[in-house]
Amino acid sequence: MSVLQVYKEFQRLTPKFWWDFGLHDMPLGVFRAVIKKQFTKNGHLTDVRVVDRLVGETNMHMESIRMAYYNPDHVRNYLFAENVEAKPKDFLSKFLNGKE
Amino acid sequence: MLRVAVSAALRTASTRLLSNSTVQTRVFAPMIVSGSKPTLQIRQYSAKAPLTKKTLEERIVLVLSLYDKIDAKKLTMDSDFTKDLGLDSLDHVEVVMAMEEEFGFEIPDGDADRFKTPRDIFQYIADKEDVFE
Repeated sequence: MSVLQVYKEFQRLTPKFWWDFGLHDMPLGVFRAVIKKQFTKNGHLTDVRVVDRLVGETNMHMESIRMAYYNPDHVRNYLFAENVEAKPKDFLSKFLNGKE
Repeated sequence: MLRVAVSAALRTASTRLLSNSTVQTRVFAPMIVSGSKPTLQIRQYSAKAPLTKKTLEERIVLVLSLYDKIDAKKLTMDSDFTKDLGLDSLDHVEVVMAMEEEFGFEIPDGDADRFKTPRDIFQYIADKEDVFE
């Protein structure tokens, strides 16, 4: 129940979020779907404590979005992992990257 | 009863006012000059459009068919949101939000949970907005 409540609030916030953080390269409907995916990603959770914690985190995210504590790049990294380099897979690239 | 009496009184008062006053239009109308031609903007603070059962049903069906996750062909007044239209609970929340925006009042979560079909929404809004015919 609290999840649906927070989801409703988040979707109310979404147009402002979309506009303020310069995410107009995608239509608003698509962005709503992205937000929804963030919720459905945790759909398998059943433990009330974990769910409550996530709801609390979502409230904090919403507050940060309202007060513009995040930067557009943070948001993009968080939602689409745009600027994060892929982790090295095979041995040679691991070696060249200096990992292991 | 009270409402009927008040609206009747208001109507007579407003007709008297209109017949007395020489200036017929009493609207807030700022002049905005765009380019060379002045355009008149009229703001009207009016009540919601009166609903009948037919228009209410049409508006609900319109909003639902415009929602992109609902297939407009499958949609009837008695199709179940989860079973027939394949919406999950988050989509259901979005549908209720669309209804709130369309009809201009908030639907509390406890009431929104009970919506199973478009007819439930129809009945709820008809109750809340006093739609009888």
